[in-house]
Amino acid sequence: MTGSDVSVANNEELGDKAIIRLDGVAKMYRLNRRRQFLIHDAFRRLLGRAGAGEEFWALRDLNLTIRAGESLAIVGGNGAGKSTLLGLVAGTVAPTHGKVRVGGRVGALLELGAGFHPDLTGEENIFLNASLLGLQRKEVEEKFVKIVEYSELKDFIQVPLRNYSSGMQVRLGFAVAIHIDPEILIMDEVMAVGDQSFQAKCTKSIRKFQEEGKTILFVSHSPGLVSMLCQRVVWLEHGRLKMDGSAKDVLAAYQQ
Amino acid sequence: MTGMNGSEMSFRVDLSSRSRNLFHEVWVYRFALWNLVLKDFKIRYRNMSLGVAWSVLNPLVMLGVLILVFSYIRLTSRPHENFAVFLLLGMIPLNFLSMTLPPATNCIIDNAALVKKVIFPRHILPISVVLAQIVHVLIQVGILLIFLLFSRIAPTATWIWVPLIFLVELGVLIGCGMILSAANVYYRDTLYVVQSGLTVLFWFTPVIYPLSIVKLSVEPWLFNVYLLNPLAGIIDSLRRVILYDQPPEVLTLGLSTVVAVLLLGVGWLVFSKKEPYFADKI
Repeated sequence: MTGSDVSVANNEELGDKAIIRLDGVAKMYRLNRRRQFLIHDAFRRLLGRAGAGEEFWALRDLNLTIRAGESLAIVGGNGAGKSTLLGLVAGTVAPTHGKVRVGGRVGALLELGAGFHPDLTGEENIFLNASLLGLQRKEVEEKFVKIVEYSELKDFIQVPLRNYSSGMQVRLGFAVAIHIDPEILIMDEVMAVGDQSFQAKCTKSIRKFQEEGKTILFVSHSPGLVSMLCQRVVWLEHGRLKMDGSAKDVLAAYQQ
Repeated sequence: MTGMNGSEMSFRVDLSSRSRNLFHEVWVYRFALWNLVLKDFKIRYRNMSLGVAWSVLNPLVMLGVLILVFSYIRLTSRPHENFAVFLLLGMIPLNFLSMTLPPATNCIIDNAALVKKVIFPRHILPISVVLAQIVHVLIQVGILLIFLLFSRIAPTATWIWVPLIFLVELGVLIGCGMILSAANVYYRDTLYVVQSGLTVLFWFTPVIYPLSIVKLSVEPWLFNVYLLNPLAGIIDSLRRVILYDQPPEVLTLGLSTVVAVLLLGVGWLVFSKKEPYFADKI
C-alpha cells in the first residue's frame, strides 16, 4: 500500500475550513480475465510474475478540496469514476496512490438498503442497518420511532422486507441514513427512486442539512436536482477531472 | 465546522482512516456485531419448519449411528464404559468447528453488498458467524447434560475448566475464520479446501477414540505433531474434567492454547492487511 493513505484529519492539516481533501488520488482496478488458481498463482508469485491482469484506472491524478458546508455534485458519463470517488471519501474504496483526508463523521448512502436483508422485518432491518452505520443500541432505540415516522411505513414495520416494494425499501433506507446525523452526507443516485412526495421530503431534509452547515457530496444524473441543491459541480470524464466550478457553468458545459 | 475537538475525533471511528485502532473500532461496533449474530440466527431458522430442532437432531442422529455401529463392531474394548458421554464430549467441539468454518469462510462473499457499500470494521463479519454458532453448542451441551443426568455424573468444582476450554476453541475458530474468509476473497476454492479438510479432520481428532490410544500407537514426535490439532487438547481436556474429574493436562491444553493464540494473532494481521481490498475483489 505504498504512497496511499486515508486518514482522519483535523482542521490544521486540511487547511482553511476544508473538510475533505484529495491529493494526487488515483484508483486502479485489475481486470482479471482469467480465474485465479491457488497453486498456479502461488508459483507465479514466486517467479515474480504475479500482478498480471489488465489495469483499469478508474481515477487518475485527482486533487479536490471540499469545504465544510459546501454542497457538491459530481456529474459525468458511465464509468467516469463518480462512484469510485464517493467510495474513496466514504472509505469503502482504498486509493492506489495519493492521499484522502476526511475531517468529519461520514454518512454514506452508496446504495439504499445495502445492509438490508429480505428475510428480516422492517424493524429488524432498521436495527441492523443503523448499527452497521455506527450507532449504539441506545441511539437506535431513541431514534427508532422517528425513523419509522419519517419512512411512513408504520403499518409494514413487522413485515419481512421481501414483501416491500422497491420504493418502500428506499424510504426505509433514506430514513435510517438521515437519522444517523452525519457531518458529511454522501449519496449515490439514491433519490432517483421513490415517489414524488417522498422525493420532495428528501429534498427538504437535504435543505435542512445544508442549513445546519453540513457538507453534502452526491452523484446525480438529473441536472434539475443538481442545480437546485448545489452551488458547485465537479465533472469527471474517463477518471480525470474535466471541470470544477459553479453549478451553472459546469452544467452548461456538460449538457452541450 | 463545529465540534472538531479531540473527544469527537476519537468517536469518529466510522471514518475511512486506515491508520486506526481496530480493536477500538470492533468494540464500538459491538451492537452491530450483536445484530449480525441475531440476523444469522433468524434467517437460518425463519424458513425452516423444524427450526432449532435441527441442531438437536443432527448430533443425536450422529450419536445414534456411532453407538449402533460400535455395539456391533467391537474392535477392542470400549474406550469408556459411558460411551455416549465419551462420544458427545468429542462430537460437541468438533461440531462447533465443522458448523462454523464453512459459513465463516464464505462470510465476506455472502455479505458482498455490505462490504462494498457500507463502512464498518469488516472484522465483525467472521466474528459474528462464530458467535452465532454458540447457540447450537449450548443446545448440544443441553443434550450432554441430559445424558450426564442419566449417567448420574454430578458436577464438581473441576468443571470450572469447561468454559475455559471452550474459550480456547473460540479463539481457534475466530482466528481460522479471519484467515479463511480473507483467503476466500482471493481464492474461491478455499471453501472446498475447508470442506475436504473437515472430512480429514474427523479421523485426526480424538472423537471416536481416546487421545491415550494415539499416544500408545505412535512415536513421541508424531504424537506431538498430532497435538498441533488444537481439538485434540480441547477434547482430551473435556473428557478428563467430566469423565474422570481431573484437571486438564498442562502440556496438552497448553499447546492448544498456544495454537489458538497464534491463529488469532495471524488471523487478525492477515485480515487487517487484506481487508481494505475486499471491496475491489468481490
